[in-house]
Amino acid sequence: MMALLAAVPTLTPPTGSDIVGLLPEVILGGAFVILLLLDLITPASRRTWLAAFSVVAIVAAFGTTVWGWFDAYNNPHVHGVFFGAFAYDRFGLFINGVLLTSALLVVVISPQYLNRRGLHYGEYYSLILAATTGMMLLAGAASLMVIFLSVELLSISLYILSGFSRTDERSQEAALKYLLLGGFASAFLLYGMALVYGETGHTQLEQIAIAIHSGIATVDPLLLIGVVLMLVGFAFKVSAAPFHMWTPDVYQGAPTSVTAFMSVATKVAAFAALIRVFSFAFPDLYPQWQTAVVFVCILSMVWGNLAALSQTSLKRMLAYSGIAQAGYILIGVASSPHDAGGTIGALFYLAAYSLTNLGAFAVITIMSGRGEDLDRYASIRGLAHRRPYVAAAMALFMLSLAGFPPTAGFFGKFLVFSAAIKSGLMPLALWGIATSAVSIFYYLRVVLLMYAKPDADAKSYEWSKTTVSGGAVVAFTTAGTLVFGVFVTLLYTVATAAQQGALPRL
Amino acid sequence: MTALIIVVGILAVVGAVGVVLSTQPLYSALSLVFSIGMLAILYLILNAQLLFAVQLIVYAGAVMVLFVFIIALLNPKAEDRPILDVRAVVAFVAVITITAALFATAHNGITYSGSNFRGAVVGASHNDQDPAYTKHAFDFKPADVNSGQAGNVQTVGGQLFTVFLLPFEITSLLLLVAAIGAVYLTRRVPKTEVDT
Repeated sequence: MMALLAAVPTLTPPTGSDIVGLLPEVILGGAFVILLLLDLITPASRRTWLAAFSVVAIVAAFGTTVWGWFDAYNNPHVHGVFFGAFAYDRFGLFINGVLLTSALLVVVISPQYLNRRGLHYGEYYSLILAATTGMMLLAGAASLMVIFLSVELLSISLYILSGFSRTDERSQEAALKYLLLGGFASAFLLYGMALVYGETGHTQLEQIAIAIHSGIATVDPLLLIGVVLMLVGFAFKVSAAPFHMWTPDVYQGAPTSVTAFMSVATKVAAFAALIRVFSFAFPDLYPQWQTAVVFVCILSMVWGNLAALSQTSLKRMLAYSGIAQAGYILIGVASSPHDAGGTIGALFYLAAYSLTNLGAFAVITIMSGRGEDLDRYASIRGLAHRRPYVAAAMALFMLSLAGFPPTAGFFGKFLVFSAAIKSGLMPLALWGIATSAVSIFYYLRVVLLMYAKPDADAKSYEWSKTTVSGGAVVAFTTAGTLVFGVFVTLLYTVATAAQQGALPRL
Repeated sequence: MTALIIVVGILAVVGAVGVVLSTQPLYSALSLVFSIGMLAILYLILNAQLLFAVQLIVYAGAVMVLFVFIIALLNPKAEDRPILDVRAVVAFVAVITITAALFATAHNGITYSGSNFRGAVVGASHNDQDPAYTKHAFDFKPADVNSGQAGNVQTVGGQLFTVFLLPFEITSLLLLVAAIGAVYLTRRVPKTEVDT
């Protein structure tokens, strides 16, 4: 018996500073569980209270994130917390901030939309909180195990949310498609991780990098296959071509508020993990993975932009636009080994894209009528004449997505393109500029439609009245898109600090 | 020992090929049980007793029983598929490539010394900054294997509640979300839901 006990390694429970490093995630994860219980005692007509509770939880998590921004800088945990499984650093906290803002805006526009569609259940808010927790864990994950599990946590929450409308066939189809293809992508990711673990003997990103750098792990085909398979798994999550097939159908079929959430939050979290893994676990392999990233990047920009041209549904158009935007962010990732501006540009782009795209989806969400989503091109014709403010905001979002100054979208593109040029990836910048020119066509088409004269004999669409909550969200995203476009240094400084604070340091 | 590994390994592959090739879903499931069982034996040879037990109880036992139940419940017909499919050929080439690379790498990595097979110790690769940790992940300090600690309950438990504590906790959230999903999606739909 004594011999057996002697074999047990010394158990060191996580210390207070470990928990502090995970505070935003702990708060949100705890709120998710409490919300489940609150749902049981909340009357069906009072489910807006659950939204209010979610708002409080998200704001609390945001507060600790802001506090952590300074704490992590003053007390750096160079090797991460929880035995190196999680990086408590400004990089993760920056992404947390973007994710929490997105989640907050989505929760605020949801009650009205869900009530109209008769989908107002407590599970919705639980799942949004669970998905956000998963995304925040992914943003800080410094070990392959945490990366995989948080990818699954966010994905499974989103599969359920996509199929949240159980009477809508398209919603069910979206959920099933997302589940099957997502499971497939997870298998790729996991197989890649298994091969990398087999080669290096480590699950922690820092240790993997050391093993490769010191030659303990030989750079052989198997390691490279592992790296590429992991890239495939992430490319699926950020919906980059050619792994984007699910995107249009899922974005169109899912309830619009869910689409708004997953189109920005999933992309932000998955990009955070992609950047962390490739910059910090495989820095020595960059000549190899850069080629693969460049390929995915160009394909996404070309495919996404060309396919978006022929769409007639706003949700589908924004899905293809999201694929193209993933391509632009990948330019930043591809240039990151040579130029710190690549990562900074990608982070700036992610924040700008979140605000803008969320704003565009918020417009669709708050305008959607009882009977139908306002997502056909025909249904927004002449919107500006009856809803001038909302239409003006939508026009601004379209200009920002296309990359016109003085919007945040312009500087996002500017930063990634200039990083590409600085790091000798000129062709990538040229592809980016050329495809952006194509994108102007379909973004401006939406603006023109909204400002066109309404057809006299056309079917009149029942646009919902703009409520205070919906108006506030649109106003907030509009302000963000403009403020970060005019006072660029505000966001740029924060993104630079995030890039410089990223762990693990090598 | 080497002969045993080779025989069991080949049998595991035969079972896996059977899963893909049989047209009757039930035969696929049974081949999978066989393959899982063979893998369990491999774990035992590698000195991972806990994994052996978990593999048999959870996979060969619980999961496969569910598989077989569902197959019996749905009573699917035999698959009708062409003998030669382009996608199958592509997949075959990809599988062969990866397997060849796996073998080539493993050949460099796995070493035998006398009758003592130096297998991977579950999770033991985290405190190995000392020179005894040699070239490859498949090589482990012989001390781990000889002391009989490899993959036993204490080692796995110790790792699970220290190094892998955070992943362990995330798993609990994940299971909760999955349960919510199962309950929500299968619950009766009230009439108030508006169909768009």
